[in-house]
Amino acid sequence: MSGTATPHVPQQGVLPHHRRRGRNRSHGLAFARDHLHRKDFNRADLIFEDVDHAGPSYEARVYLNNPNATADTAPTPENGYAGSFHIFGHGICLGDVGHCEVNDRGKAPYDFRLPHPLVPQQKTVVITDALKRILDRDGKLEHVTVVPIAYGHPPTGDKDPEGFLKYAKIRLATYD
Amino acid sequence: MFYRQPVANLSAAELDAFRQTIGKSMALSDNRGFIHFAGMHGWPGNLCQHGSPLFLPWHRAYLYMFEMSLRDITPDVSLPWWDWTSDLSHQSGIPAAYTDAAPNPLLSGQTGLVPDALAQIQQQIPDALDFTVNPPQTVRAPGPPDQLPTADTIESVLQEPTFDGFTNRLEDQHNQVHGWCGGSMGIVPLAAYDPIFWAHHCMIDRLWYLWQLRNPNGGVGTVPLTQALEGFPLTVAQTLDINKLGYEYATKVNVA
Repeated sequence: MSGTATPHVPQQGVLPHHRRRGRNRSHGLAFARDHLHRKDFNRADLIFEDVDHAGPSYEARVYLNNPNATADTAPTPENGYAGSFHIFGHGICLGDVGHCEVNDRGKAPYDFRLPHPLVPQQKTVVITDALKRILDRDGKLEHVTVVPIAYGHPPTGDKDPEGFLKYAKIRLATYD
Repeated sequence: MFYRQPVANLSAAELDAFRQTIGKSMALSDNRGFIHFAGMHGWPGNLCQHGSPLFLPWHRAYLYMFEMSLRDITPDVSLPWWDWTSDLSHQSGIPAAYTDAAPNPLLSGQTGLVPDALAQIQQQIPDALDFTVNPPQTVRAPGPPDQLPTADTIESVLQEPTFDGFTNRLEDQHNQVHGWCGGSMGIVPLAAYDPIFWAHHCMIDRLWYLWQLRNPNGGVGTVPLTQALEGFPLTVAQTLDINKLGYEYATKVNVA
C-alpha cells in the first residue's frame, strides 16, 4: 500500500497566511537501481529517528532527488514529492527551570513512571510509489530533502526561528 | 448505550443540549469541569500521550472520562465527532456548530491558567490565545479547508495491517489537523481548552474503532494490556471495547 495522499498544490511562492518557513535538511544517499530493484520491494518507508517536538507544530515535506526544493516547491510527483510528516509541538516550555529537559524517567526496572513527554519521536513517511517513480526516472536515489513548514509565528525572542526541524538520522526501509 | 454522532448531523435540540452542557461544564471551577479536564491533557497536567502506542488508548479513556462528567450534568448527552474528511468540511472547515457567533460555548474556551503562565504565553506566543478579552480565550487560525486530510488518505491509513503502523499514521493525520486549526489547537499545552479539540479527538477515536472492526484481533502492538492509563482508573485492556465503555458511533440516531 502506498498511503499516498492527494496533495494540496499551493501557488508558487505563496504560503498560507499562518504558515512559515523553516530550514531545510538535505541528505545525500547512495541507493542505485542495482541496489533497489523495483521488483525487490512492495513498500518503502522513510523513517526519521529522534524527532524533536518541543517547538512549533509543523509539516515536514519530503522530496526525492530534488535538493533545491523549498517551501514554495509544489508537492507534486514531478518535483519528487514523496509525502510528509506532521509534528504536534509543545510550542514553549511553561514550567520552571529543567521542566522540559528530557530525563531517564521510566527506564529503570523499578521506575513505573511513563517516559518524559518530550522524549523524541519516530516518524515514518511511506514513499513506496514516489521511490519507484524516482528509480524509473533517475535510476538511483541520490538526495532526500526535508522541507519544514511551521504553523503560526515563532515565539518572541526565538534565536533560531527557522531551526525547528531537528532529528538524529533517517533510515530507508524496504519490504518485500 | 450512548451514541456519538457527527456534529453535522445533530438536530437543533441535540446541539442546543450539548452547547448548554458544555457551558455548564465550563462554569465549574472544580475537578468536575471543562477546565479541569482540558488541563489534564496539556498544561498544567502534561498527561497526554503522543508519539507512543498509548496515544489511542489514553485519548479514548480521556474522552470517556470527560463525557461521563458531561453526563453528570445532562444524563443523555454524548460527545459529537467532527468528520474533517467530509465534503462539507473541505468546503467550510470547522463545523458551524463550533464557529457560530457568541454566545456559543463551542466557539472558544478559557484556560484557567495561573497569571505567570498566561503572562509567559502573552509574551512569547501571543497568537495562541485571545488576550483582548479577560480572561483570555482560545483562538483559531484555520488553514484552507481543502488542506484537511482527505477520505482517500484516511482509507489508506485504515488499511494498515498492524496496530503500530495504523496508530503512527493516524496520529500523523491527527497532528496535521491540530496544526491546520492553528492558534490554541496548534500547541500541546493549550489544545484541549478549545472545544473543537474534543470533536477532533472523537473523530480519531472513531477511526480507531473502525480499524478495530476491520482487525478484530489487531490488538495494541507492544503495549502491555495491563498498562495503567495515567490520570484515569482504566488500563489499556479496558479501552479496547467501546461497547464496554457504554458508547457506539452512529451516523444518525432518530428517537421515536
